[in-house]
Amino acid sequence: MNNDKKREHWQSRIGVVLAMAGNAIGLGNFLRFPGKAAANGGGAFMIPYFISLILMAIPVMWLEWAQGRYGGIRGHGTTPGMFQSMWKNPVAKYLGVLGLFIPTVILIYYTYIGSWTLGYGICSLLDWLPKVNLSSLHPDMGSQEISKLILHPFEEFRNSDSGIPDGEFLRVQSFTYAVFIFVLLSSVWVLARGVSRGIEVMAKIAMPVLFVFGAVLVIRVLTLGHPVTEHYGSMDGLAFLWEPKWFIERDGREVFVLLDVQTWLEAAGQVFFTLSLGFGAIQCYASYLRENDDVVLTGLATTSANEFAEVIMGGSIAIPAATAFFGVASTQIIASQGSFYLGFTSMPAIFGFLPGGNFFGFLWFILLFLAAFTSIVAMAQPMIAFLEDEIHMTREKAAILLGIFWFLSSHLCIYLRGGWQVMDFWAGTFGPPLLALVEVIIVMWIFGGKRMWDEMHRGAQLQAPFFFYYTAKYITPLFLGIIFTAWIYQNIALPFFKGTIFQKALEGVEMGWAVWIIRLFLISLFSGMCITVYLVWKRRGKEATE
Amino acid sequence: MEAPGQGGYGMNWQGWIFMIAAWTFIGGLFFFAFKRILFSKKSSHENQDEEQKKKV
Repeated sequence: MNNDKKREHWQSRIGVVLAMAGNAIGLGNFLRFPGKAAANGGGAFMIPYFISLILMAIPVMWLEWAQGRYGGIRGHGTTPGMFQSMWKNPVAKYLGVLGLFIPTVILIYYTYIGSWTLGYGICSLLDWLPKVNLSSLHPDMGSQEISKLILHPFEEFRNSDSGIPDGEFLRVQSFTYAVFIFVLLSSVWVLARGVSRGIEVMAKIAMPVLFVFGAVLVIRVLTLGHPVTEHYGSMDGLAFLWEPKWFIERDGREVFVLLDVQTWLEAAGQVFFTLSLGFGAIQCYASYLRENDDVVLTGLATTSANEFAEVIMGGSIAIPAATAFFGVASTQIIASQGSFYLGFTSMPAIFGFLPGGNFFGFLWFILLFLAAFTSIVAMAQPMIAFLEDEIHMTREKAAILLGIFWFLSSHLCIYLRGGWQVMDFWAGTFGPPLLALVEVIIVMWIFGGKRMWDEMHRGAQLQAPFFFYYTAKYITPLFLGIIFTAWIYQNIALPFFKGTIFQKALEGVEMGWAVWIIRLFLISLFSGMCITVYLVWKRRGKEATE
Repeated sequence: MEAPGQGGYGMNWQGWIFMIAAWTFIGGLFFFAFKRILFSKKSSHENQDEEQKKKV
């Protein structure tokens, strides 16, 4: 409890919940979830989804909150220090480097992607998006033909906005770049103001606005009726998403969805990533709690806010809107093209049809921007906390130093082909289940499950059912181990044995020198963080002996 | 009749059950948690600070 007085604290409990909810709610809630649910059994997908939420996500969420508070009152806002204080083995702090590496890498590419949403919001408001060409439509056209004709200009617009490939480079428009710089500077400004004056104030404004915008859009979409033809409407989108499909096709075979490993992996992965578990960011925010602040009820409130935004709002906007205008068959194709296609190609086209479409388009993209911006700030905070707590830098200096590194390294994503995809693969997909597995083992098995259970309930306003103790100790690590092993098998072992790992870096990303530059950057960053941690603890050891 | 989710027929009863059950579970959890946070008698940060000052 040596540094308790020096560290900042949250000013209000609702501020903590909103900041944590802002951390968790991101683009995935509104874009990734509906696509995943529709592709993996619709309503039936919600069975593995809720089982994963209860058996894995809620226990890990509570452990991360409790671990963060435990570290914070000992002067550590990041996982190297937290792991080291829970496990007196020199290896612990290096395992904790994952909790610095993952959010920092995500920060680098997510800022750029988040800035697209603001750019689209501005374009929508100023009527700079392509126009829907209704005159080219005729009554004999099928829904797939209509959607192709309408979506094509928006697809071209998106490609030109996010970068046109030119060899291994991408050519980016100056407007996109300017918006990115604005988002980066705004994030640095919020971070430099501090936890209570910066992050908490931002969350108290951004989150209510996000929920209001979300509610307006849900009402607008669900009252669309049958805007194009009586054959399909927005309620068919809800049907597409919620009607259980008990048998789905996998590799040409019909399989029962609840016995399908892929469905379980998709559901567990979605629950995991939507709550930002295994990123190191929840612990960092929780480290600014006071010693007797509740973590059980506030952790549950954060989870419920995220799920509200994902299942109720996220499931009721993009897919029902697409179905109302393009029909179920075309929506299936749109959803299969990925989250960005749904969000940045089909949604602006849909708003182009509506009266007041520019306004609703603006609401949609600002909703996405607020979701992204609050997550960007949360991803930056662990590095700031590390510089403040372990290197004793002032917050302003830490924010400026991180800002410079952030600005320079973001250019790898902006200008190199496959840049953000490779970073997302390692930091956004591979890293979180690994870090979560490590932290659950350290907390429940090395630090001690009973000790952690008592730690979690200090100041608690709600008694967690003891069932969760056994879940966190036995089922959660097993669940995470299976997810992690299956991920390694699918993404590394299988492509390796098929020989495709040498041709393609990732699905849709060809192997080229740009990919190797990114990989080299990631290895250098991780090594640099390990060396910094080594030097910090060496200096600390010296100071202690003196 | 078309297969589920093919459009034009609204949502079948299974879809309604899944949707209502999921919305009720999440909505219930959301209102329960936020009601307890916003209207509880548990001491706020400010009160905790005051309590600490009193102790000192």
